[in-house]
Amino acid sequence: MARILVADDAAPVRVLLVRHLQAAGHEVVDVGDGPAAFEAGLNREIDLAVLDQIMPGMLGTEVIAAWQKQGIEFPVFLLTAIDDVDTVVHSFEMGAADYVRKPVNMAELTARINGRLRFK
Amino acid sequence: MDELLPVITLLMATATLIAGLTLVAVKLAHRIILVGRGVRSAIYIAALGEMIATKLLPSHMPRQWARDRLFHQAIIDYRRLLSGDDGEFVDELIKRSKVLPSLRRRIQPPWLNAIRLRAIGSYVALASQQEIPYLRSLLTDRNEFVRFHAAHGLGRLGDVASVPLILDLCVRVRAWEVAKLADSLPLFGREAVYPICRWIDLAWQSPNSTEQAVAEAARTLGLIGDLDAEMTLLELLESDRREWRIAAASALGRIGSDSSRFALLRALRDESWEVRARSVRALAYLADGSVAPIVSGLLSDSQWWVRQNAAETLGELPGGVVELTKALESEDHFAADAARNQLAELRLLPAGVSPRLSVETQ
Repeated sequence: MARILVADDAAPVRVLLVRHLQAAGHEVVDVGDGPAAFEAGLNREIDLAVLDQIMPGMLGTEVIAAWQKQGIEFPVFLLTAIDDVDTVVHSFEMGAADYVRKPVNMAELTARINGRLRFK
Repeated sequence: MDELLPVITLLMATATLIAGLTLVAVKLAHRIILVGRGVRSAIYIAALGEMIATKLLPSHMPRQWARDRLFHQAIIDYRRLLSGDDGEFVDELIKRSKVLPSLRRRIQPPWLNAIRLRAIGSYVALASQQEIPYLRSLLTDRNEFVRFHAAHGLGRLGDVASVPLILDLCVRVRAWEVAKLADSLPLFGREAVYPICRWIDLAWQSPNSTEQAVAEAARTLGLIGDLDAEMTLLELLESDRREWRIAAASALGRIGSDSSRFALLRALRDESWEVRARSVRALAYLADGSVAPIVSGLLSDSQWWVRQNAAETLGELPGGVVELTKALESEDHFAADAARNQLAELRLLPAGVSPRLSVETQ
């Protein structure tokens, strides 16, 4: 069992991800904006994070950069509707472990998260 | 008068008190409404999330859900979020909730425009292939915004058969509506190239076709950027209508084939400066450095905009900066100024060369 942070300003994403990840036996912390995601990563022992790229307060990549500055590292999945190669490349350069485009196949995303946690 | 003073003061105090209490009541009511909406929205999101996660379809859904725009928004959000099995399950939920028939009733004319537009917006976001005939019928609605939504919905559903209908509509409506309707055409994707080209061929022969409708169709071909559109665009670039040539020039730049390049180079000698300006700008898309010396010739064009576009294109083409630097020595002050301006913009002005323009600032 892992502790996973889910950060997205869209409530449906949080509801479904929390439901799927809890069903897979994980503990889930969910927040609705960038600064709250940064705080959660800072103060809770997180094993993996799923961040929306466009969030109020801070972008997903900005949250990753802020964690890196604090020396905090765990795999981060970026979730976004932006379908643009530059953004994908930038996300990986910023340290994202994976990049998931919306619309999302929840079963696939959960499988990817579980796979990543197995090799952590 | 002194006797009336206390009465007036009392009346004023009472009026102020009533006004204040009314304001507080209105604010309170507004807050209650907002909280109520938030709660309803959260209930819908949670209920739908539970159904999707467990893949359990309810035997029936409360009828009022289908009429509530917060429910519409919640189900739209889930539809946009999910693909695969989950997406198909959301489609089933849309059917089961009977939300589409409810929205269709609100799109009908007796309702106020604000309600109709909200309903068509949700309808388009939730529609599936079965809704195509109804959306097509809305292309002739009396409200132009309903027509725009219908065109976008058909584009989202990829109903290529609607492309000629939308273009025919462009011939009959006002100029600003043509641009709004044309915005929907790229949504149809590459499948729309053939019907658009076919429509342009027919429009060419029709006395009723408006210049703008054909020009918008040509621009759409450029946005889609498919090589199959090349022949039609090349013909438009040779037409006697300036608007068509301008649109074709921009579009050919995005197509980017050898034939496009030759046609654009020919169009640099067009009698219309707008066509020359668009053609020289379109050459930048091709990123072919071999055209830089020819583009450099346009730095001496009689029109400022053409010179400016030529300089911008040279700034982007491989080897273009060399041509710009050479043009600094030109005896044509207009050409030298255009080059100087662009090099200054790119921060590549050679040391010792003044960024001040010699002609155009005077």
